[in-house]
Amino acid sequence: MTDLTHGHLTPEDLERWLEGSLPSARLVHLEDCPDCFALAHAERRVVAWLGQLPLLAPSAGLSDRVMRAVSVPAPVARAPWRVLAEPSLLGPRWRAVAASAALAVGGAGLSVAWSISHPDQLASLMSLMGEQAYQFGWTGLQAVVANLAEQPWTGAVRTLLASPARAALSLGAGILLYASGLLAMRRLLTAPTNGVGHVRA
Amino acid sequence: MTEHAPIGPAATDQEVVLAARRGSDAAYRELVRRYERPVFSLIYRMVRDRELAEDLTQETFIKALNALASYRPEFKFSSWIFKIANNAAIDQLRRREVDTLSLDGSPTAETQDAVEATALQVGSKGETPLDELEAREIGSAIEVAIGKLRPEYRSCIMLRHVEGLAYEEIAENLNLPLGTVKTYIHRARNELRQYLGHLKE
Repeated sequence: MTDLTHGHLTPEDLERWLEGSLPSARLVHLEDCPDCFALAHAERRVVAWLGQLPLLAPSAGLSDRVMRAVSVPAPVARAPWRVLAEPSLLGPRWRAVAASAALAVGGAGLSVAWSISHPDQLASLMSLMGEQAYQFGWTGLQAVVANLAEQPWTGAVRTLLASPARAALSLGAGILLYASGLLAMRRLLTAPTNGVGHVRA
Repeated sequence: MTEHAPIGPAATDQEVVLAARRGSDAAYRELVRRYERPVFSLIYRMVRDRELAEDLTQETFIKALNALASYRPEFKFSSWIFKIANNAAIDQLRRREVDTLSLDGSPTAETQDAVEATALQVGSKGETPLDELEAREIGSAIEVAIGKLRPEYRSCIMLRHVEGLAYEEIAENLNLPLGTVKTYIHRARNELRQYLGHLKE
């Protein structure tokens, strides 16, 4: 078996080292061999310099000059459904939105069609659903009222609402308190501008 | 209904090409906008003449955009256009021997504006005047060194380290065996190391 810690780095080894995938046995050699170490680091320096070369810009107006000589095909007339169905035109999010919309419209259409063709069943279903909703709502309301009546602050509220004048006064005080709270929050959330540097355009 | 795909920075090259094929003028311009700098940089560094590089860049885009119908979206658009650009540069180099580097502007420029317009701008990321000068010197030295490489080495090293193509893409672009591409890049880096050995890091 070849001892990988011996023998100078090959071009493939150098490439692997630049990519950070040189096997550890070869890395040992690289650390121990001054020639390979110098070569590898010089190679990396050249690669870094090449990578930093700036992209150069052609003179302005290239686009216009090119477009004068390019034959742009006439815009294709396309049905809206074909545009929506084109997968590469729409991103995943838009495809999901389009699918949801299609599902909703399809479902609504089916529902309307069924309702028209089964009027009796629809009437009895609506009646049943109405009764259930009424029962549910009434029971819920009773539960809420009973719960409120048992709260310790119910007595104080009753006292406040005992006369129209007291009720109006309480309402005014509540509104004032709410408005003060809003103003305080607004002031707190306003970003400070003092001492902030401005970037010159 | 005439419909164009949404054109913007988020759209993939394939989406922009699709929109261009359907007759979107904006999509053609977007392709030019995306690739004018990479293509011009590649060609300029191949032919070493700004005016000629401008003409070849324009020629590359006209050829590519007029042949969009033959582009196969399963391949990267960048590879496709770099291949056309590289062929244009290589053809030009075969036709005439152009190997002069005009870092300080075209020798044929008659006015100061023309000199500045044709000068190659390199190394402008320095933080201080000294850094900037050093960066410019390193950038200039690298440009000169690249100019000394054989054209086939030059295109390989540019595609690999400046445009960021994979070895396989370069082999495909240049119609060369993968091993040859690796050898060319290795030799090009060897030569660059020798040319640039005097530079400090």
